[in-house]
Amino acid sequence: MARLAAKYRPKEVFYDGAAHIIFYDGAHCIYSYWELRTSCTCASCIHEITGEKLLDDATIAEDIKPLGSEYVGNYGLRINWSDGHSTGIYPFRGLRDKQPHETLQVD
Amino acid sequence: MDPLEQQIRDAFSSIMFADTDKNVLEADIVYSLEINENRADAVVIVDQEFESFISGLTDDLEAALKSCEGISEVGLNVVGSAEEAQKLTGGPVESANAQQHHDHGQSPGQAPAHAPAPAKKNYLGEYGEVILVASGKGGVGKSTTAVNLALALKAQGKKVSLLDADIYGPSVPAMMGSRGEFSEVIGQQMMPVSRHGIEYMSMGNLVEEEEAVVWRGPMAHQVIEQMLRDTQWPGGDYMIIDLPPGTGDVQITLAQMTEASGAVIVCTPQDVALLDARKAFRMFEKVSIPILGMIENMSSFVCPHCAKETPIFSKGGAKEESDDQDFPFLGAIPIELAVREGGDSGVPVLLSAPDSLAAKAYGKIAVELQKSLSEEE
Repeated sequence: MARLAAKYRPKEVFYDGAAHIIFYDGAHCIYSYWELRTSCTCASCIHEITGEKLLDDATIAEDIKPLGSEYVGNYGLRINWSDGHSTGIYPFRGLRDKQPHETLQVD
Repeated sequence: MDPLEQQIRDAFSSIMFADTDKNVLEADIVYSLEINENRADAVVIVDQEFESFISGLTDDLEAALKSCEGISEVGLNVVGSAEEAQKLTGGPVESANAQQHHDHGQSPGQAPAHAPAPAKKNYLGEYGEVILVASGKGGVGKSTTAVNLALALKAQGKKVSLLDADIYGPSVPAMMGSRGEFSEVIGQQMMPVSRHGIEYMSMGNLVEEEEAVVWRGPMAHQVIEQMLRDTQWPGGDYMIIDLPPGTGDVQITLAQMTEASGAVIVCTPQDVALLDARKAFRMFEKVSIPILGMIENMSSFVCPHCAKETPIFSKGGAKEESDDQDFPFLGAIPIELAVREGGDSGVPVLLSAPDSLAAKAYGKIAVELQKSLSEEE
C-alpha cells in the first residue's frame, strides 16, 4: 500500500541536549546535536553533483545546538543551528534508517 | 548524589571564598549550576564588598569545573545579588548551594539552552484534504482530470477548491470558463476566482493570457508560496492541486509547504507515459506523500458511429502498473469528444455531459479516491 510507514512518521520531536524523535511505531530515537549538524546534506555541506563533503567537521563547535526548527511538509525537519546554518532538511526516513542514534523503545 | 555532582562539590569545597575562612560551598555563593553535555554554566552571587576577589574566584571556579570528568567548557556569570540571579535564570530565589539544576532553564546571557519543539509552517491547513494531481509527463490530461475530479467531489456534496500550480502553462481558466478574468487583489490578499461552485487560483487569472511566464525556479517557488499564503482561500473538504508535469521546483515547493494528504497520478496507458509516472512515484516517496492511486486517462476510444472500441494509446497499462506497484487503481477515463469539448468551452464534461461515460468515470474515481483516503488515515 502507498500508506506511509509508521516508522518514518514523527509523532513528537523535542530537544533537551539531544534531539529526540518519537515515531508512530513507538520508537524513541535520540540524536546527538553535533552528529546531526555534521551530517547536514544541504548543498553547502555536500557537493550537489559529486556528493563530496564540503563541510569540515572540525569547524563545528562541540556545543552546537538547535535554536529552533520546523517541520517540512510531511517528510522532514529543518533545524536552525546555533552557528547560523539552517539550509539543511533532515528527512525523517533518513533519520530513522541512516543517521546514527540511540533507540529507547517506548510503548 | 551522582558521581559528577560529588566531584564538583569536592572541587568547590577546596576553593576558599575571598579573604574569608569559608569555602565557596560554605559561603553559599553558587546560585545555580547547569550541566549540559560537556558544558557547565554557573551563576555565582558575589556581594559588592568582595568585588576585588571576583577575577581570582572565577579563575578558580573554572579550573575546578574543568577538573571534573567530562566538563571541557565553562560559562560563569557573576551577579551582585540573589534578585539579579533570579532575573537571569528566571527561577525563584533559592540558595542553590552547588546543586545541579536538571530543569533545563535558561542559561545566563544565552539563547535558551533547549530549542522549542519544531514549528509547523503549513499552508492550506483550512482544508480537510490536500490532493495533488500529478503525472510524470505532460499532456496526459492532468488539468482535465483535476477539474473534473474537483467537480465530481463537489457533486458528491463536498466543498472543494482548486489550485492550478502549473504556472508556465495554466489551463484551468480555459477549462473552467474564466479566461481573461483577473483575480481581485485586496490589499495583500488575492481573491480566488469562482466558477461552477469551485474557488480556484491560477496563473492564468493573474497575468495576461498572451503573456509568457519566463521564470527561473526561485520565482516559481515565490509565486507558489504567494498563491498558498496570500490567497483568501475559503477552506473546505478538499483542495485539489493541479501540478505541472514532471518532478521540478513547483512539486518540491508544494511538498515542503503543505501537508499533502496524498497524490493521484494521471497516466496514459502507453509504456513511455508509465515510465515517467514511475519517476513521479519515486519523487512522492522521497517527500513522504502517499500515492492515493492511479488514473488511466485516454484509456480507449469507442467510436460513436460504429460503437467499435479502438485502444488508441493502448489500454490497461496504468491498471497493470498500479497492481505492480501496489497502488490503488482509481479508474479509467475513455477518450470521448465530450471531454475535449467540455474543456474547451469552459464547462467541463462533468457538467456539460453528466451522462457521458467519462463523466461517470470521474464520479466513480471521486468515490474511489475518498475510499483510498479513508484507508490512509
